Amino acid sequence: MTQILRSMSRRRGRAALTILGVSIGIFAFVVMGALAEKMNIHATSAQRYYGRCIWVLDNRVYITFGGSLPMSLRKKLQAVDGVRYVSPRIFGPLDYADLRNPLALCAIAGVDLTPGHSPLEGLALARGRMLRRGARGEVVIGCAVARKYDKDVGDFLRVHREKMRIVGVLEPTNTDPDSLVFMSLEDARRVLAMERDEVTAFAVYVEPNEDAEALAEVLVHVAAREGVPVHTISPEEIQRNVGSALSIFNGIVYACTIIAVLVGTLGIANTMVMSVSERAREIGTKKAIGARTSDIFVEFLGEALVIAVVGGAIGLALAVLATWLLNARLAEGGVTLFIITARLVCAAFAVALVAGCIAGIYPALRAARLDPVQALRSV
Amino acid sequence: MEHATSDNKLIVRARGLVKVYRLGRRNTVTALAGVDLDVPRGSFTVVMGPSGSGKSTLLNVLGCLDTPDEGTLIVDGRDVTRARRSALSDFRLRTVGFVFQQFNLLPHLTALENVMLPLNYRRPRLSAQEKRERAAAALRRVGLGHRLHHRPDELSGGEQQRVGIARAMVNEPKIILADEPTGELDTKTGAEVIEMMYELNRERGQTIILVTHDYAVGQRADQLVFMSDGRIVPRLAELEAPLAPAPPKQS
Repeated sequence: MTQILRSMSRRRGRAALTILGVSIGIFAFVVMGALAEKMNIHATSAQRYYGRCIWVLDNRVYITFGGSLPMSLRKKLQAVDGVRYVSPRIFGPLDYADLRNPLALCAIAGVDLTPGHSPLEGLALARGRMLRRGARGEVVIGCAVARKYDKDVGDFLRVHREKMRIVGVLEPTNTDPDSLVFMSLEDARRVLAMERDEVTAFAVYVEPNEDAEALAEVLVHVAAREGVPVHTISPEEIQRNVGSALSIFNGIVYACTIIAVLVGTLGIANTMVMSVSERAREIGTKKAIGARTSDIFVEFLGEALVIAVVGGAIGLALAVLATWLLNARLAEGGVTLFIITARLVCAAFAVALVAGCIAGIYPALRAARLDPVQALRSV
Repeated sequence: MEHATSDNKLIVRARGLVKVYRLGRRNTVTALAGVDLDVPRGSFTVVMGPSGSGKSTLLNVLGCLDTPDEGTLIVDGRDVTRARRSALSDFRLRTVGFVFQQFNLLPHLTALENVMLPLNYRRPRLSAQEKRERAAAALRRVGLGHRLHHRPDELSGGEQQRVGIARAMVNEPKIILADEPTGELDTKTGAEVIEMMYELNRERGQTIILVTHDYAVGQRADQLVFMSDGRIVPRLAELEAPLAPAPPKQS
């Protein structure tokens, strides 16, 4: 090892530039990977949070925002076989300016606070308490909302024209609840100026072993019979849409980073091939004094691996710093865009090691196979 | 590599060694054209001859850096004629020490580290402490005990060659092969280096085979071998003449 480092130190400039090349590749890999990890975690957390629930939405809107459904539809949906319970929801923007920046979007979520039916029951509190049935003028907020507005338990949050007291702050979930302001259905209607029996969506929870897709079709028919045109989003549909969007996103991200890493790998290979030519005489001398083919091979491969691992570590450190800075900046808007996971760190080192191996094998073989007599003659 | 029964008094027994190099598709150069050579253990053998006569090739073949195309070579009782590469590198490590004309020291290593290099390749491995001690002892033996931590560019030519000699002997090889070890040195320093090699030969019974153009060096040797056109030739007056110092011209 000492020998490898001493050899590298002879051509510091070249070694540093090669390491820089690898660092840039690994930097790109980690930063883009952290973005992909965030998206993946968001998607899987969302699936866990929403579970087996069919969203029933106003046919005029695709998302849970906007639209209007009569509260009376709840009983009809509840009566359908296979439905466990129906949870009415009211979603609306917290600040209309947010609609221009979906990444920083914080939303109002009016929920049914009946014990056993409240969606808040599956969530953990970081501070304060949960909303109680019949709560008025109180909210429980997600961690991103708390960060964005710099509010905590006991503070008042401005919700359109009203000031509402924050009674609880939720633990991070890495998905939608982080950017939601939970309140009772009545409060939500009031602040969003909605009618008395109006909601924007129903979350229909399905009995276990029930075919959710078939049930979703039944729900559409039931609503149509009531004269309410609705469409549904089934858990399978969410999974399909999210899955295909994620795989396209992951594909683009990883294709870009593979190119970056490949360029770094070629940089190492180039440096090592040059090094073998320049050090032919040294290789000849080592062979003459008893170095085996394997000794020379290990020495040159080791040098490529050291370049790759040092480059990888620098790239990783820079990526951690960059994502931390970006996250800190974006946190003001309530957004966490990059998550560096343990598996991403492992993958970065694995990529660096594989790059080092691929780049080092050919030059190391060349060095090891040099004919000592020829090598000793070289200048 | 096979064990060969041979006269135990001989460390090298070469018969009919032929080495042909290909230069391009058609041209070939016969570097060794049937060399027979016996080297007794503990002897000082000097090989002389004009440039291109095959001296260096002979040294490379005797040192197992190169293999002969024909003939038989027994070194230290082993037939190395057709040994595999891996066996040859092990054999070189234990049996042969090389001293080069241009010293071939690694510029980024200190004298001590250069001398430790052959010890790094030994299996089983030696401890770092033992390697340092052995290398330091070898350097002290060549009078460089005070230069252990100097890099080659901080040493004179003579000192560098002495480091080269210490490196060649640190593994206590059976033979030291020196290819024009004074070629890069001035006369005085060259003479000191040669004296040191004779000392090694006398005091430790170290077998040395040395290539040189200096006839005075050869005159002191136990065995003086002349080469011409890839063969060992008798010591002819006409071959000796150009090597001897030219008589002063008379006006």
